[in-house]
Amino acid sequence: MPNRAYSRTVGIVIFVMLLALLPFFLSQYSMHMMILVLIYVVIATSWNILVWTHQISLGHAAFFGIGAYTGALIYNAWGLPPYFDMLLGGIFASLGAVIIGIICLRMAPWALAIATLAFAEAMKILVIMLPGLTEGAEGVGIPPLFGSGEAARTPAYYLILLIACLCVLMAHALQRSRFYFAFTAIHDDEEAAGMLGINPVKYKVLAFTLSAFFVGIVGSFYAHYIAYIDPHAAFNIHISVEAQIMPLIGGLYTVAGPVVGAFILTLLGEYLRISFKTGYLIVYGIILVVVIFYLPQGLVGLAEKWFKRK
Amino acid sequence: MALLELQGVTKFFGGLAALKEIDLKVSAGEIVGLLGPNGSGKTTLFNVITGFYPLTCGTILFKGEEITALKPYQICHKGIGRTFQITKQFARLSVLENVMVGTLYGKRKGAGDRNQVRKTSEDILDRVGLGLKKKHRVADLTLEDKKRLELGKALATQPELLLLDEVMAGLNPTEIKELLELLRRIRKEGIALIVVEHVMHAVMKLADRVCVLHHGEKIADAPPSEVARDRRVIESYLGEEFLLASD
Repeated sequence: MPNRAYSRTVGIVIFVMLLALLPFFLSQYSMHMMILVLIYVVIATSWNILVWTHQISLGHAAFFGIGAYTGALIYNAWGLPPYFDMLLGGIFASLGAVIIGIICLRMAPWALAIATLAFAEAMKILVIMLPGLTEGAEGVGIPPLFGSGEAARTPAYYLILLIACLCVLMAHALQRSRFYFAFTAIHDDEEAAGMLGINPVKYKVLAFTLSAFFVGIVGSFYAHYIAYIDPHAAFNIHISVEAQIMPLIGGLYTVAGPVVGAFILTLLGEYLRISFKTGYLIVYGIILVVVIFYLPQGLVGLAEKWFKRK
Repeated sequence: MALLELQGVTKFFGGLAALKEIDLKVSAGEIVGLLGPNGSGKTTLFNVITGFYPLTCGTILFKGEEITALKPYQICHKGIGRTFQITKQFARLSVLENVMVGTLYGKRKGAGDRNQVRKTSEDILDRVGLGLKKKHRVADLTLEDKKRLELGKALATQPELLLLDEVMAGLNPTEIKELLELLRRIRKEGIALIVVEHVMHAVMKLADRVCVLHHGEKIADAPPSEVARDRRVIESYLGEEFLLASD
């Protein structure tokens, strides 16, 4: 009889293959939605890594925006291959994370949350105030990544699918590595972790850096995909908020949770927006409150309980 | 050369002197009892040795090397382990995984591959008597087992000196007896212990030397039998009844 880990792996492979087949069935509009879903898979997964070390960020939009602007500006200035400036987007976002990480490390989680929120807003204002470099509030246009027209959407979809898979794989590998022990120990009791030989500063900055890296990459991807970026879209607080609600709904501390949360909330949000033309956010909000209230372990926790019972 | 040597260790919190000019030497394999009324500075002393509080002045040497300004994780790597008065477990990890943290990040960082780390950690759990509970959640442990786990975690870092902060508090006489046995076994392995404890008869039986703190000052440092008769110690901490009871 195949064991649980084996059947889970098979399930995940089938799921990814199904995702890879989607472009053959979906309309252009649905493809766009799936690209957004995968962008949020990366953002939510990255945010969740930070939570493993008991740090809360309300400013992941900052890393998304840094990635987006790095990608757009470098591409326009030097015409480097887009894949290269996506990587640079990730690296610059990580650098931003190291800086804010070192400044804010000793803060309590709630204070860190406020500091990161301020950081994202400050980055937005900085971009607006430096029109010579960033073209200010007008935003930056860049040539679309895979040319224009409908055919461009499929390669973009595969690219973001690849990035999302890499990001989730990274989270999975991290959860099975010795880093996870350090992260969890710091989360549960930082003093005790220190006394067992763990340098909390090092691992908290590491978590921050990793968390920002993939968000920077998708920020850069987004700029190339939409072919235009402006400060309000790139540093949108909505991104920071979704980044934490998705893991919360899906299941904090798990690898699957943020993925499940990203799929459900992105698609649910869009469905509600179409169904309830006015006041859809109220319905969305009510659903969130109910789920958080009744499922503190998230949907993944619910599924695990259900499987155990069987 | 002493394993641990404190020279004029002083710690002020604002204007309040929590520790005043403490000199203390601990040799390898020795058990030193640290006594004193509540608020006399015992836990503060642990906190300055392990780098949680910076010293106001004074020097701390470990194996002849100055460790005064080091951070807790660096002090752990030098070979000092510590348990906390209120046990500090990692709630989301199992009993075995709690110990694995110490094995992975302690003095011999990442000793071997994952199987070796697991094996080493299991051996430690056997030593502290938690071998059968390795898969338990920490929340399901009794107080005694939590104290054993606290010891196991500290042992996993491969210390040469262990600072134990009230490991016996809240335990019943049978449990205390078992724990005393365990501490003696740990000493036999060559690990020195500094034991903060209010369970007097346990310390008197266990310690080679007893050091008494009062208002942050060291008022006695001698073998248990002598300390039990020391006037200042009796007045400030033990009380007349203790003298009568031990006669």
